Amino acid sequence: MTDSESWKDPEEVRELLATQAYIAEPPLATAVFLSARLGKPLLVEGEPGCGKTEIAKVLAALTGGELIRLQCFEGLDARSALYDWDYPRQLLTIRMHERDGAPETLERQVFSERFLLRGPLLRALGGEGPHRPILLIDEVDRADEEFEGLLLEVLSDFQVTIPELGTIRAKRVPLVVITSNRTRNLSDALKRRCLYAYVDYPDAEKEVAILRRRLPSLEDRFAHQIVDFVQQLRRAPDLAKRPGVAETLDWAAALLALGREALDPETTEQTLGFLIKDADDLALLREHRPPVVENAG
Amino acid sequence: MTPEGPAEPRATFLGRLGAFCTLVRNRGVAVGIGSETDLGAAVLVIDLLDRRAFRSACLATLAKSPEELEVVAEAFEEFWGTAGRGLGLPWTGAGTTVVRPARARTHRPAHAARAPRNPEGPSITVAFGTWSATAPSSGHGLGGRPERELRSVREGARRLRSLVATLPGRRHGRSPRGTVDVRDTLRGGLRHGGEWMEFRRQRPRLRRGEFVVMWDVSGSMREHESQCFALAHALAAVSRGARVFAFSTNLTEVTSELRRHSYRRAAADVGALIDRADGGTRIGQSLTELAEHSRGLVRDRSTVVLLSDGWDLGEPERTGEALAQLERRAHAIVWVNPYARRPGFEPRVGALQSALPYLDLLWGPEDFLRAHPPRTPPRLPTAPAPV
Repeated sequence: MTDSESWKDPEEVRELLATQAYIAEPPLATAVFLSARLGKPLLVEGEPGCGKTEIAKVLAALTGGELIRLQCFEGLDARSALYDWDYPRQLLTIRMHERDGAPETLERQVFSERFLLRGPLLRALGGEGPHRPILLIDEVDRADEEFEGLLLEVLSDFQVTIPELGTIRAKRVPLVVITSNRTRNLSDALKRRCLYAYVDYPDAEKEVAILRRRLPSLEDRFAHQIVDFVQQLRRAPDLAKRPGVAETLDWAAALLALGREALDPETTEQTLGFLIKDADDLALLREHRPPVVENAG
Repeated sequence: MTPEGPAEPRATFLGRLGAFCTLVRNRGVAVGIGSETDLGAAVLVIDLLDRRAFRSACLATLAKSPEELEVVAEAFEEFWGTAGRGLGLPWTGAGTTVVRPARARTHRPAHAARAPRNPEGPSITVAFGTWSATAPSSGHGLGGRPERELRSVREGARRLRSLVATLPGRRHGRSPRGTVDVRDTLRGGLRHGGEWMEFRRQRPRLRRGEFVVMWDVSGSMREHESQCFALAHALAAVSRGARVFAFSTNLTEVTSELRRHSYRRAAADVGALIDRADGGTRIGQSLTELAEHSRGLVRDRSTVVLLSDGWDLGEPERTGEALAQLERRAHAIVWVNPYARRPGFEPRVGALQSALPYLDLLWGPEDFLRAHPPRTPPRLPTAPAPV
């Protein structure tokens, strides 16, 4: 494990990521390095299944920091993300002490940190461990635009204001990774507070390297065959959803589990569902059997 | 390493860094002071002798989208290939090969567009002549948009729906600024042993608007037709009572074809239905047909959305007359013009000029992808130029 504050240069970050089987391009490694050194959140956009979320997981494994994940969805609000009060416990406490306690004391007591239910954002700010926590705000484009407004104070000053308690500041600035699939444009205010990196589909050479790292039992020739096929599939026109690296890994693992050592058209057709997750695309490929499927193997 | 060259002081380097940011800004990337400061802080922690690290730092701090990455990368090669001379950086003045990042992607935001290279405005090729209802078609390819873009467009259609829905309906929903909802307050208290922890409030929900979409499928819209189909499909998907009409010289309803379960099937069916639409455009005639023969269709909760570039081979003033009729019945009229957000755009074409007084919004397709699209009505040009 290494301390993110002791990283010397982007190349070191790149090598460290590689030890966790994450092959990063230099721009991404630089962005991660600067994010750690400057204490700025890192906004990672890119194609689905290309390793955006994985960055945070790998950083947590590298640094030993706690990975705190906030999965965004439509309707996500401050109560889920930041904090809520533990109303049943507050009520019980009030009932227990309503006869003997002074109202002011009672109020101070029930609105103390003991009754605070911390959401992921607040937990990331109050990290007690020896290492910087890693805050992953995943798929922020799924959340409403109002939620972005909520993030602004947290991400720019690393503090949260709770009316009853005051302002809570981060003890250690967490490493923040925000991911987005670009289903909508994020607000300029949020983007301004972040460093930016884009994760694209890898080229064939890099994808083979990823496969070999993740699945050591995969033979080099077979890995090249798999990657060639996936790369051709990505170039096929009219596909609504192209396979990402995650799909390639799943497919390669499936082929290994089936005991295959080389691609053949029959197995490829039977296992296309690992790569293609859209019913129309699957029907299109099975119906027309483009050369990419015919020539598999 | 600190940026100290043998011949130039540190101030010169920072000055050039500022000049680089200005260049990037002039190329259309909104580089704020914050980003500029971030770059300044970044060069203090990276090794400036490493060209790749410096370039990556510029990309990470100044760009905020894949399109902007491309602009910053290009500006970097142009600027630091020459402007870095004399700073003691071994890589400056050499290696001016433009290394582009990944290919340009979908939905380039309006602010990310480069400085207009063609100050005359967008070049539009228009085939002059008269309309013909029996002209042969050269085919319509409507599918082929990436799923990500389709999702974004649908989000944009939802935003437009909420933007134009202003009439309160009979249903109520929770709202922090409404009247107290006694039943909901009591129900909420049950969770806390019968104690009222908070007053829950409600107010009437806004009625969802209905879209009546008029989609121009004439020849001048050829290069935008798959984009417009995606918009029409999204508008039909987010509005229960939506009606969609394709027009060029005739008006054809395509609502039921658009509601096919599969996007690809919908694109194929609609493409087949509008397959004889290459004989010119008659916007005014088509709008008049809609206004006169579909009286129950356009009502107080309807928003008429016109997807067209405004090139009309009919009588342009008829567009204004038809929209004046529709404006009295519809809740809002929105014109989506493919060129509206391009640099140098002016509403010069006759049909668009005659329509301007009746429009509530003039959008470009890009506005469907923006988190905060404009809500103001279009402005009339001060000195209308002849078409």
